[in-house]
Amino acid sequence: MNPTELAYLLVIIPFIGFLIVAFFGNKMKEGGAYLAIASVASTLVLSILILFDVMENGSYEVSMNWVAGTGLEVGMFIDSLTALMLIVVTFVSTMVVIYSIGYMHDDPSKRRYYAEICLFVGSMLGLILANNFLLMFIFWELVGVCSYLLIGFWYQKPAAASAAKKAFLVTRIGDVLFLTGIAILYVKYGTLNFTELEHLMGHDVQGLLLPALLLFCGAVGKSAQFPLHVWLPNAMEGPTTVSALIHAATMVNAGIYLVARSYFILEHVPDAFLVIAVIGGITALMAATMALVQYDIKGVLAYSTISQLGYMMLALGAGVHAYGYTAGMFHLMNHAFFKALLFLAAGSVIHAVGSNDMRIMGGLHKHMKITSITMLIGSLSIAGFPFFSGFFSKDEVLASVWHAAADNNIYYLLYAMGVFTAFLTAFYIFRMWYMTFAGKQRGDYHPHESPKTMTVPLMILAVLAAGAGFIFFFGFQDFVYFGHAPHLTISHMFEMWQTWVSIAAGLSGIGLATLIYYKGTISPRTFTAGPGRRAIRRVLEMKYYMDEFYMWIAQKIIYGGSLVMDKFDGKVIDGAINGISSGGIALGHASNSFDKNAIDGTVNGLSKGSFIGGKLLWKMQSGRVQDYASLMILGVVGLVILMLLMGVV
Amino acid sequence: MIPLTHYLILSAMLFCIGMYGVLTKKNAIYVLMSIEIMLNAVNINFVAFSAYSGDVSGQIFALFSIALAAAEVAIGLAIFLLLYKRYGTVELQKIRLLRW
Amino acid sequence: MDFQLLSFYVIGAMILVSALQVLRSREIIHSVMWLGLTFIGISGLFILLNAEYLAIVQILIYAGAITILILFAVMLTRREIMNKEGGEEE
Repeated sequence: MNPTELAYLLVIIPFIGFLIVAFFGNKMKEGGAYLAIASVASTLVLSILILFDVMENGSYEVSMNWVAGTGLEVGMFIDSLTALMLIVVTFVSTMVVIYSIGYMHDDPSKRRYYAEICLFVGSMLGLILANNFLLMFIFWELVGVCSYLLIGFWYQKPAAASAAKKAFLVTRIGDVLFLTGIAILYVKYGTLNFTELEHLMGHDVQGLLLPALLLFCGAVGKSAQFPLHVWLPNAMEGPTTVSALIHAATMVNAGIYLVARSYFILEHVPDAFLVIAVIGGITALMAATMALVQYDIKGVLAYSTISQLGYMMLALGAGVHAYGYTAGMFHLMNHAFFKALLFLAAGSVIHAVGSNDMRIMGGLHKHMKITSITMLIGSLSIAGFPFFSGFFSKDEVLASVWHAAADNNIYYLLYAMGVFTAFLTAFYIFRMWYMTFAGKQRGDYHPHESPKTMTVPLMILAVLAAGAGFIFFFGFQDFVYFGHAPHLTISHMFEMWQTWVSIAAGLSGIGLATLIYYKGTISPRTFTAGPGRRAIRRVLEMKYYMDEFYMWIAQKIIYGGSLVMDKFDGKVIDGAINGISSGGIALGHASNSFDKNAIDGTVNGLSKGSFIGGKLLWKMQSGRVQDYASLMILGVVGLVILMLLMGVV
Repeated sequence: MIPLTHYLILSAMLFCIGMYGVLTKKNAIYVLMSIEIMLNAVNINFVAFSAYSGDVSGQIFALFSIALAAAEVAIGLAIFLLLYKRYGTVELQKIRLLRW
Repeated sequence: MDFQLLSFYVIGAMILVSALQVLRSREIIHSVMWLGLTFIGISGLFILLNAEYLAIVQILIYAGAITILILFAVMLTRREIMNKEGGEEE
């Protein structure tokens, strides 16, 4: 079988799995879990085959026409980036689904869960494989829908239902901008195919900044970057496995992937790189500070995901010459492994404790050794402890930012933010680990180790989280790159002082957390005493008041505006009901709006005009069938007259 | 042989009668009957054109529209019965569901 | 004036008159009866046009089924309600 057909199978298999589980899952064991595992695992096998094929033969593309004559097509484009993403997504998904057997064992609506997971994985694979922006957007939206369904999986809980809605609406802002960007590209070049666009951009690179930034806006929404990051912390209302899937494998990586995929556009607009890097840097630092004050074990991980995504954006924003592309994608891969590990381990803890609250945990190490040790490995990895995978990728990210600073001084600031974030990351992740596993048990419950189906995926992921970093030097950097490959070696890495800076940042974070939460030599109150420090804590706990800010916008501006409209509405409707004069009043409003049009400027007038136009149309809507029928007949008669005049008949 | 225009004029008159009924009648049953008259006017056109051009496809279309009309009347009457049950009237002026 | 044309005028007049009567009748049952007559007239037209099969289908479905369906619908509901507005002309 040739790789072309494999690529189509990759998308088709999960969708078939989805259909079968959705319709017949209840008749199967565990609500169709085994079928779901089979379909996801088979995509993993296919991805590995594709990876080997790409390593041997390079990138290839298959496509067929969708709408003839418009340049729209359905096709697959596979290169090293695609192959990497395929492996990451299918591998993590497989682990998560296997883990789900244990985790979701007692849930009554397992069938729905497994069906939606299959759909989720299938759409994500479609997104990765698409060879043009339109197809990508379609799968992009499917991923959004699936995340909505899965975050709101326990829709009986009001918090879960509203979290799902929030995720859907917030990412929608990015999606609309993304679509606008696609439209601009299509108008400009007449095609959305990646290879064709890349080719065309060799000749014409004028005015690419706007579409590039719009594409990035899509990524901001999907990958939870500042200022659209607010949905991700709420997204943990879903089952923990779903959080692992969303945070590590599918949803949020889509945005990073989009930016990486658009690199051939971005390379023509260096300003866009700066925007991406700044947004990434702000996100990384801001989310890391918010993670410091979380008591919810999943909350810590959710903010750390945002922060790490910020890292990836920062790396991608470092630009073509600084190898940011390689560093960012490497961090994406490692992050997928250790974040999936951390989330699944957290799920195991929650499973044992029955609560998310770290304040009642503690001392769990002696009850659940496997979970504790695997989570420790994940924590060491994310904290950047030397020779764990996170150490290498984080170091590459920071090195590439430093590299980019040669061209633009702002990157020095971003580098400093990155290093400080690394320190904070190490601190909050060990705060979490110590609060959960060290010390004495603070709540009243009987913890127990989780079943094998849950611990085995943890162990597999732990091995990768610990060791995946080395593949950077053995193949990765020569495989995933944009422009030219970096060619770094381990010894070269330790010759650079930047490496020692990030080691120092990570170790001091771990050390501080140990002092405070393990040894207890420093009381955590030291940091919250005093009005100034308490205020900082409050701001962090309220997540920089971002949610409140958005609520304020929604309530005061949008709702207030609609109240004003409502009053206006009442007046106009009353006038209309008064009968014969209604037409006159509407005319008066129309002329009034015309007056204002002349005085207040076009924008004001246009909105008023369309509003009054709407009102007039509303009056035509009598609700009587026969009025509509008369209008229809009038229209037909008009058409016939038109045809007669034009001599068509 | 009767000229084709005779049929067309007759069908146009019938169509107008039906249209008048659809637009003016208050009772929904009357409207439904008027629609049937309009449909029949159209059928006459179909069959007349088919006969004068020697092509049977016009008749096939007429057959289709007869079958559809039968279904439409059945469903329409069922809807009116339900409307009557629910609102106590089949007067179209009073039933304004189409407005919000 | 040949026989065909004559019968066309007779049938045409019958169709138009009964169609008008459908709208003019005060009693809904009468309207339905007039409607049946209209359909029968139209099937006569079909015979004139050499479409015999269609003529038979017209009588079966329209005159036979649809008219009876409407009749049943009227009779199964309270007749006075159905009639109340029925006869009114605008």
